[in-house]
Amino acid sequence: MNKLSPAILSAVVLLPACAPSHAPNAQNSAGFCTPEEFRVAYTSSKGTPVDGNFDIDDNPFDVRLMIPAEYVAKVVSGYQPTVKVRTSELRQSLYLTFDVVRSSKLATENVLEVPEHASLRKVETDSPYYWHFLEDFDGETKSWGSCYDNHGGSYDCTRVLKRDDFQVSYMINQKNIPFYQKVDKLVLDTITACQ
Amino acid sequence: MERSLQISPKEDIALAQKDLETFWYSRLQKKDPVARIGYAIWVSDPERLRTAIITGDPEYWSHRPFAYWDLMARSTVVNLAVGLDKGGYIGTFAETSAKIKEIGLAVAQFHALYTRNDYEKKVGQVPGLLSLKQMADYHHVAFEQFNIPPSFYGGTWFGAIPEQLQFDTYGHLYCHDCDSAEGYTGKAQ
Repeated sequence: MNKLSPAILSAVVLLPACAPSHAPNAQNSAGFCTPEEFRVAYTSSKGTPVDGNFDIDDNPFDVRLMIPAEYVAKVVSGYQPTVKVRTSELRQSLYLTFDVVRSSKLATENVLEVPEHASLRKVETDSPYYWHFLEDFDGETKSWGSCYDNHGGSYDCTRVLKRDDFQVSYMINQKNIPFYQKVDKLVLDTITACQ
Repeated sequence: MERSLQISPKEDIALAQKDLETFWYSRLQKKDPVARIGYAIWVSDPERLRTAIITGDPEYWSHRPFAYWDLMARSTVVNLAVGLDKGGYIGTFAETSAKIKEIGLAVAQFHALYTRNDYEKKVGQVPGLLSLKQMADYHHVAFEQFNIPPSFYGGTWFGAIPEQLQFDTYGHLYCHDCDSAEGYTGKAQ
């Protein structure tokens, strides 16, 4: 292969990627903690993105946390640290993202029972490969998250936990959904550890 | 007419069939910015990419020529191969190529999920259009699933430029439909 053109190389903007943050382990303004051992720094420029084709970011939270799969499995009994999808054993670490609370209208039609998860109800969408789960909790029905068929023998979901001033989300595979309440507790314990 | 970035039934079917070229080409038609590199990576004939760029909106292609996007695609594939290597993966050429396709499928599925969520929750200014931060997030999740260090996602343009040695070692993986390491000869070079 010929040498790469320095002009092309220099045209590529390289921002710092994920790197450990050196900020103290403290509570942020929204009231949740960001333990340093799980922190993944993401450096981004606020406002107009470098490439104007992308949307403007309106999420005020820059912090992301990564709880390693092995740690989750150690704390949450039964949690599978890897799940086979197609031909790959995929690590099931928890990547926590934070955002302001975003709500959409709860569907009340076409709500189906979910035999494998008694506390959840399924709301179908126009796509056969994408749906929402509702959760019955303390006599109230709340949005639980959204799921998609990974076409590899299972489905994956985005679990969204809503608090007063923010929401925290993580991905979870079908095989680990039976343990979601314990995972929720781990997540909430983690982000309240400094309080 | 308002621009619609919703995931279409056609895109759903393409994902179900693991047809990344069709998926990203459909997204390209909607001017989804992520589709530029997605299509550049998974297009089976680079001439189709060249045609898409020449006949497309220069603004959408950031006024960059075919050589730029071709390089970005190659860089990304090489980066993934190096990242897999750093994460402990050992495989033959064919196995590594297949593993990169698996990563590509995961990324495309995450893209569809994030796009749907963005559309439904009206995140940002344009429903269904992702920010660089959203794109970084799902790449990080996908990379972690395959034990690729998150630093292999560069934070903006789809990964850092690999070193020449890495290009020499893994550059041939760009040719996804080739059945040997001899494949793609680099039409942009």
